Amino acid sequence: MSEAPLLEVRDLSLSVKTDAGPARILDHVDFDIRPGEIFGIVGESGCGKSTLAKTVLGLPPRNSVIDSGRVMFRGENLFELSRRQTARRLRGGTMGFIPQDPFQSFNPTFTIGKQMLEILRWSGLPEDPEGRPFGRADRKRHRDRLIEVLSAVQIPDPAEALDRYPHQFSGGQRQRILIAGALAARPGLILADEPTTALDVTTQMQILKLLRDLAAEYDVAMMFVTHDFGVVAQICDRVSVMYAGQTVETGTAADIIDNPRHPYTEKLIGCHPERSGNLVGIPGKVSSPIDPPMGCRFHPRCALAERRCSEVRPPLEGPAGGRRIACHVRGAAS
Amino acid sequence: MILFVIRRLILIVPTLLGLLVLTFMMLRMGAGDPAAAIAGDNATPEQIARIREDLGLNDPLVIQFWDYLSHAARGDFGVSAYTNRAVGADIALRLPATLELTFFALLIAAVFGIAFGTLAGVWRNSVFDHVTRVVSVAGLATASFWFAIMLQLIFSMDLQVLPLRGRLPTGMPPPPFITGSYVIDALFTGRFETAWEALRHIILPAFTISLGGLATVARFTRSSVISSMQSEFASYERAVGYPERRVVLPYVLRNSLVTPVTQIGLLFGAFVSSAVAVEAIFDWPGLGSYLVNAIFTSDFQAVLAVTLVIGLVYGIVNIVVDLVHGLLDPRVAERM
Repeated sequence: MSEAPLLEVRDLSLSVKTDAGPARILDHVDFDIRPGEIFGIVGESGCGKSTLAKTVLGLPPRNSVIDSGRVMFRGENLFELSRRQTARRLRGGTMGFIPQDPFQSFNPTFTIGKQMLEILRWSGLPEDPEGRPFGRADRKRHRDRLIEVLSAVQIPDPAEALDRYPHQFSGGQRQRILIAGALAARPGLILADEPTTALDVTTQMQILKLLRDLAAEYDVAMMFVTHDFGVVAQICDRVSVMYAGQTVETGTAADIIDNPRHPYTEKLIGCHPERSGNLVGIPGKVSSPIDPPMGCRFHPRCALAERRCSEVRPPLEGPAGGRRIACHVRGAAS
Repeated sequence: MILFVIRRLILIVPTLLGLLVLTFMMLRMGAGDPAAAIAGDNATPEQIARIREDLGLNDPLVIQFWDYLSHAARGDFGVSAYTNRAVGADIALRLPATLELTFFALLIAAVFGIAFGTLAGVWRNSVFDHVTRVVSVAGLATASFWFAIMLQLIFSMDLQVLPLRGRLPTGMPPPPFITGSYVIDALFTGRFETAWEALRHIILPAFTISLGGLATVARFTRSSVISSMQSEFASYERAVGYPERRVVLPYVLRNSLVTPVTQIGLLFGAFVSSAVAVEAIFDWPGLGSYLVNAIFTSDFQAVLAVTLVIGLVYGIVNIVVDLVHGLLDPRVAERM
């Protein structure tokens, strides 16, 4: 608990300019990730979780404005770094990234090795702050590192794999290679944007187990974006539930799954057939970020909504770093 | 790969045969009597009839076609009614000039079309993009003969920086024949002054021919660059730290080249037909002017042979385009 957080996201709000006016995609998002932990960001599609991941990487969407808050990584405010510094020092280097779709994320016309070498090349290793010159010695050293991480993700014959093209690998193998890419530059934090969604269930299990093992082995923290509480149960230590750009509940994964308190969390867990025994949806859809409902953004879909829910926005309450919830009815204050 | 090329070369044969049948039929059924053309204005009907008989024009079409084919297969394309020389020799004399011109035009269209299209795609909706778009549309809409004359007026007459016509200045001997391109042959043999002059002579006609194609290539490149820039792989490349210029070059660009390269292959046909008019304006001693003369004088042997040669080059150009596809995309190469 006393350990300094690796990543602190404080009161982060972000809007995207649209033709219909500004859309608040992230609204006062607040969480910490500690070294070595796997932190889940859970929510339906359209709740802002991918935008959150990209913003942490220093790639907010086009035409977006940070309205408030900050993102601190190892005590440095990312918004105060120049673009170049962000690119060099954070992406690839100290933060690794695993994308959602292993089929579309590789460039089909270049070999795996060439694409992975770029990650190391631009990761801003200390002896090479400008990213150049990028000599033969670096290439050899980087190649060795790639072979190392490819073996770590159990790609058979990694040296040969570097010279092959993406389409020569299966989806599961490609996802492993992407994981290797995220590990290559020895990051402190890996951002995983729904890394198993595009895979079939058995492959999904293998990849989750691999991620869990690697996180422990390399002592790397992970921000794991997902919509699936089944995945959360398997891999996450702590979790933050997001709805329409707001954090509605946060706490340890086990605690939230066993005892969800926010009505949205409850519904989201209920959507999982293995848990509830039948298929239930949540009526309605995520509210529009352009014209969000007053008060609690979930109230139009909430069975427990009271009058104050449509008038006052419930604050995220609870002990810092412990179980926190933003709900008038179920919250700490009630 | 080699098998692929052989297979494609074999496939050219039926294509050319089809082309030949079509051209042959159109010529025989269309207007114009080659016998009358050969005999001249003052010939008597008896003379014309004798020439018809000599040429075999009274035989059934199928026999005539077979006759032509069996000669052509041995490299004998008949005698031109207009020049009175063997058509094969005439073509051998003029083909290199046309090929040099159209390949230079293709080169200009490819290099500038891809460069402008890429920049327009990367800087989408910038001033550069809008200017390129307006110029492209104008380029597509411009008649090449008008454009050619404008270029001559500006660069040859007013500014006097580029020559008006021909392949070389009068009196300058052409370089020894190696590839048939004056520029390349002169470079190979170390005649740099000749190479420079040949280059100066080819710029205006090649640019005229390339104009429409350049615009097309730029448009195609722009749209595929835009879609590659928004692709998942580009967004992954950014997320793991590639600088933006690196995302564009080479990663986005190589993926964006497939469509424009196909386009460049198809352009060859259009360029040859536009060479017909442009060669006449710039007095370029190529096949274009020869073909126009042949059509006007009902010189059937010449028309057929030129059609065949252009068809053959077109087929080869498109095999090369497919090979370039293979170089660009390993998935295509695997299927070759």
